[in-house]
Formats: sequence, structure tokens, C-alpha cells
Amino acid sequence: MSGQLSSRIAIGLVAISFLAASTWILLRKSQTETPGQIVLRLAHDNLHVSVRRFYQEITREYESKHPGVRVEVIDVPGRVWMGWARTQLTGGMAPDIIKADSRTVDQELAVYYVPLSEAMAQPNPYNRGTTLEGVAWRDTFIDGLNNPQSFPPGLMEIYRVPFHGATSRLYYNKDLLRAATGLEELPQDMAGFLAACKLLRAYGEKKGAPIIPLISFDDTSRILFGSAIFEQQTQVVARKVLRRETISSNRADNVMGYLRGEWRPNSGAVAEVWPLMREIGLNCPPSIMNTVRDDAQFLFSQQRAAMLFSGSWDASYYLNNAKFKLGVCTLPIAAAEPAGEERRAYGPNSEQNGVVSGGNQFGLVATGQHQAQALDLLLFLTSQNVNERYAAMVQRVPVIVGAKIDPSIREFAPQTAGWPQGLSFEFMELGGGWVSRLIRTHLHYLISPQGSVESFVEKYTPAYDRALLLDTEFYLQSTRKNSQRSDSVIAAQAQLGLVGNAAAANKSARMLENQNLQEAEAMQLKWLLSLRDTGQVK
Amino acid sequence: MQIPQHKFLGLYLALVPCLMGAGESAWSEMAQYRFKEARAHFSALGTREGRLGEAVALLNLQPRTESNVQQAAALLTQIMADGDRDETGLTARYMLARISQMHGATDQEIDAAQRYRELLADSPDNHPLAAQSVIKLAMLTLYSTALPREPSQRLELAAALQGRVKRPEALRDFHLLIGRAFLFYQISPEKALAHFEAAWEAGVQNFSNRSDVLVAIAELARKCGRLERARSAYEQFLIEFPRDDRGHAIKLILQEKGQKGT
Repeated sequence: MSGQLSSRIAIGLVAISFLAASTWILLRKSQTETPGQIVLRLAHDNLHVSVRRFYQEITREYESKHPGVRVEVIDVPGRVWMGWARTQLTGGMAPDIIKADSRTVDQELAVYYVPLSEAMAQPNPYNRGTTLEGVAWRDTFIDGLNNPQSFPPGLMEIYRVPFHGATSRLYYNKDLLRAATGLEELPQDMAGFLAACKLLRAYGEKKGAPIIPLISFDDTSRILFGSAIFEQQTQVVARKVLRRETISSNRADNVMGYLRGEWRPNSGAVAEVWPLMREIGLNCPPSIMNTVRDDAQFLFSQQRAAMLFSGSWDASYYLNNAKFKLGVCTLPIAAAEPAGEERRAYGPNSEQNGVVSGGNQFGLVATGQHQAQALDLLLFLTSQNVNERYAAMVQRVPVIVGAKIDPSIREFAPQTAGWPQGLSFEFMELGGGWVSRLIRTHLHYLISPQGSVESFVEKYTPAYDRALLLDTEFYLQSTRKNSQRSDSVIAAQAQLGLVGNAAAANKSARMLENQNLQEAEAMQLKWLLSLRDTGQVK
Repeated sequence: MQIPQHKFLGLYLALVPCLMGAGESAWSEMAQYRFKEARAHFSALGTREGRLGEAVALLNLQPRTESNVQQAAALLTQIMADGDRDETGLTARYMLARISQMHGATDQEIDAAQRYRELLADSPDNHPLAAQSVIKLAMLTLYSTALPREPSQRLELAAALQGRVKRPEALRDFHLLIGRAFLFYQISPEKALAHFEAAWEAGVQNFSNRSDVLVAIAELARKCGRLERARSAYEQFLIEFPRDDRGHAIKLILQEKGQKGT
């Protein structure tokens, strides 16, 4: 009996909740839409006050240019973003413009988003009167949208546009630096940098308040030891093992070089990187790969860490909140190696292509009722003038050609006079994550005072081979799935082409170009794996 | 096709199958990765084209299962039995070859190669998918570990297929494939260069492939002593890809060449 009563109460509560929710939605709809008015909705998950203020101001400006259009900005906390966005998309209720970061997979893009390629070939009308007047929309972005988030290779269409870019930098406490070393600026050579670290540590010990010379947190530790050190120091070896003659290598090229025995983590030029990495790493806490962002930021803000390796995404916070004089620079690793040593790097890594990442890209939703107007808003938001103002207001790196970087963040301007990166540190692009996990669990042998290069190499390298092979297998599986998926789509486009749809025929041809190259690359990897299996390559 | 705005959207969606033809509309759904919806529409057609569409959709119906792949193969075989030289029959034959190569629980590369060879024998130049059979066959010839051959022999056999390539997009893919293979096996950079030049001439379409091919032409031309061609390719790269991260390195190469007076 009591069980029945409980069930009825539960059902009643569900019914009441459903009715309340339905009523709320209906009332809300009637409040937001008035006859003859277009309501555009834009959703994002960056709740920083400056970003919200920008959207508030810029949408009012857009509304003033377009009477009859109202723009609603929906702020969603980052922690619930993916769940929220996917529910909205699958439920057909998604806003007109929505952030679509790198976690949005190709199939979601193809089903829920509008391809922008056609619009990209036309000039952005909001660039009229600027240096970009008449320039195709695509060419107004600093990387020409040649990044896998904007232009996913598997889809062969542009689906997303970035609002800002990102570069990684070293933040440092100028007050501490001056007190410990007498210097106003951090030295821009490795010997000077390491000497400054030593003096900072000694200064802390003398004062009885230990100072950590350099700190970073999980994600930025990977950038510090990966892109900034390892991938810069292995530029030459990556070029040597590259057979495609393309100057820059991809991760499959790196793996092929490994499978041919042309590089190993415990010998040659790669092994020479570990002592340098140890020298730098000894200035960090040994747990740096697992340090959480809040802890690292707390230590830096409290002046218990003298330098923080992070990026332009933190500029706004530190430039406005640091209780000390702040310096910003690149990690001084690009300087030439000591004379007599075999060259490992050509120079600094170029930041040209990496500046636009997957973190802050937006797309047009296919179920939107006002697609033409939403596209217009997207054009407005990515115009030179608006992007410059946006970047200045939120203190981020602009992504539109000619949009000036705000003087307050000039140190974050991308370095374009550099070289393509070297060997991958973690092989994250292969998708398996095995090498990455190996690094996370072994790096402390290299950078802790109790560790050594020898103990790291001894423990790390025997497992490396297995980890890289597992990552390669994962990559081959992913490539196969891509081919399987694209087979149906290519066939569909080709069938449409046969009945006179020229655009579909063209797309089928473009997709085949990529499918063939990807399949050939996968077969090359399989060929090399088979040589290993038969003992023809060690 | 431009999708119309708000209040006519429902009407538009209802009219699409009539305006486009039911088959065309279902292919459009498949082109947008809507495999489940496409399959439902194709199976309702009850035609040969419907069976083809259903088979192609089954290959990507989630969850992907071996029985779906087998069902697709059965449908395609049935289509072939009703005629294997018309457009529908040629698509069915190509898809069966793809199933052997890519969709089964295990790779059947020898069977796939045989199917591509048979398809190629029927001179499928006016069919975009059947025309790809020569590319897929060349790829298997170059790299399949199921076919034990020396690299030079593989290259010779694959290159000999060139005369069978007619359509411009297939010609482009063929030259890209063979050019890359010459580099992979480290045999004749001169021949690799010739293939990349031919691919470029045929029209490489995708942005990143275009930039890679142009750099490869420049680098190979430099290594083969064709310095003028190298210079023109580097310069063309800087114009066409002004925001590529190789630009700085290429400017330095050009400077160095300028200083040497070459």
C-alpha cells in the first residue's frame, strides 16, 4: 500500500515538474518573440566578465544596425557545456550560432551544422572600407582557416570560425626577479635563464620562504615539455626522417621514421634533448604534469612561484590582477646550441599555424530558423574592426588579418618567423594516448632531484616502443573508420553528381583526393609494421 | 541547395522529395551523414536504386555490425545480377570491392584487387566511382602486404596502370599516389617530381594537399638541380599560401639561392 502511495507521489511530482517546465518554456517563448522580429541566439561557455561585456555591447551595436533583429546571448558554464550543447542540437532546439570546440566530432558537424565554404568564397561585407575590402571571407583569417577544426579534412567543408587565437608564454614576477638577480628582464638565452632560476631559488632559501622558479599545470606542462622544448629541439631530426619532401612533417611521418629505425628516444639527437629538459625541469615541482591549474595559479599569485608557463588565455587575469610587476616572454630556448654540438633545431617554432586552435570556434546551426541573418551576424563578429575590438576587450590574440593586437598583450603576438615543429612529444594526434600516459607517469624520473637522465631513459624507453605501436594501431583503426564513413558519403555525392548536381560531383572528387592520400599513408604504416614483424627492421 | 527561412521550412521539407525525386532526396540525406533516415527512405522506394542506397547506408548504420555489412553485400550482389554495366551496377560493383578492402571483419585485399581489376576491364571512364578502381588497384599494388613483391616491382606495376586513367580527378589521384610511393621507397626523386608536376597540372583541389604538393615540387626540383623550377615553385607557394608556417623557411631558402646567384 505504502509502495503504491510512493509511486503515485513520484508520478505526481514528475507530472507537476513537466507541466511547470512546459509552462515556463511557453511563457519564455512568448516573451522573447514578438511578431515581425527576428531573434537570434548565440551560445558560448566563456563566462569571463570581459567576454560577457563584449557580447552585450557588440550585440546591441548589431541590433542598432539591424532594426527588427534582437540577439540573445546564452552563457553556459564550461563544466556543463558539452552535455548542454549536445542536448540542444539533438533536440532541435539549438541556438543559431553555437560554440563548437574540438570535442565536436565530424559527424555532429555534418548533421547539425551548416557548411560555410560557399559563404567563405565571398567578401565579408562588414570589412568594407578596411584593408580587407573585397577579400574572400576565408582569406581574412590569419591562417586561412587551414586548421583541422575550421576545415575538418574528413568533411572537406568549412564548418567553424574562430573568434580568437592563442599562444603560450612565460609569465614572470619582475619584482622577484629583480630582488633575486638584479635583472629587470628575464634573460633571453638558456644559460642566463637557468642562472636566473638558480638565483631565484637561492633567494627564497635565504629569505626562509622557498621559491619555485618555474611552474605550470597539467595542460601547459604538456605544452612546456612538448611543443616548447621537445618539439623545438627535434626540428632537425624530424626533417631528416621526412620523406614526403614537404618541409613540415605530420605525426604519421614521425612514426614512419621510428618504424624504420631512423630515430629512437634513447639515442642520437633525441636522447640529447633529455639533459636539457632535466635542467629546465629541475626548476619545476616534480609533479608538474599532474599539477592542477588552480594550484599553479595560486602559487604564482602568492609569489611562491617566480614564473608560470601558460598562455594568452590567462593574460586578462594576470595583467589585471597581479599584485606584482608582470613580465611576459617566450621560453628562451630558441637560441643556438653551444658551438660544436650537432644542430638540433633551426630556430624557434613558428606559431603561424598553431595560433588558431579548437578552443574558441563557432558554427551555424542547421536547424536555425534564421540562417541568413545568423550568417550575417557571424560575418559581423568576424569582421576586422569587431575582431580587433573583441581581442582588445577580452585581451586575446585577434585572428583576422590586419586586426591590431592590443598593446597590453603585444608579447602574445604570434611568432611567424619560425620553423615547423619537430617530432611529436606525446603523439596525441594519433588518438590513442599511450605515449602521453607513459610520459605523464615517467617524467618525474627526469625532472625530480632524485631522478636522472639515465634512470628516466632506463624506465621510459623499454615501454616507449609498445606505447607508440599501440598509438599507431589506434590511428590505423581511426583512419579505417574514416574511410568506411566517407565511402557512403562519397557514393551519395557521386550519385547526385550523376544526375547533374555539379557541386556534389565536385565534393565527391575532393573527398576522394583526401581519402586516397589517407589510405595510402595508412598502407605505408602497415607496410612498415609488417617489416618489423618479419624482423626486416629493428 | 539553399534552405529557405522559418515559416516555409515545414512545407519545404515536405516538398523536397517531390521536387528532387525520392531517390535524389535520400542520397542528399546520406551525403549529410543521415544514414538511418536515408536507409528508411531507400527501403521504402522498392526500386533497384533503392536497394543500392539501402546497401550503401547499411555500411554506416549505427551500431556497425558484421550482419549489416553482409546484408549490404547481398543487396549489392543482387543488383549486379540484374545488370553490372549500367550506372547502378557499376556503383554496386565498386562498393563490393570497397567492402572487401575496408568494411569486413578482416581485410580481403586480394579479393578487392581482383574486383577493382574486373571493374577496370570494363572501361568505366564515365562513372566517377568505377573510375576510382584504378587508383585503389594501384594503391594495393604499391603497398598490400598480401601481395609479396619488391618495391621497384610494385612501382613498375602500379605506374603501368597510368594508361588506364582517364578522368581528371582520377589522374590527379593517380599521380599523387605514385609520386608519394617513389618517395616512400626512396626510388627516383626525378620520377616523383614528374608525377607531382602531373598531379599539379591535373588540379590538386584540397588546400593542404595543394600546399604540400607545391613544396614537394620545389624541394625535389632543388634536389634534382632544376633550380629555376624550384625557385618558381617556392615563389608560387609564398603567393598562394602566405600564412603557412613554412613561409619563413622558404624565404630563407630563396635568400640563400639569391646569394649564390642561382
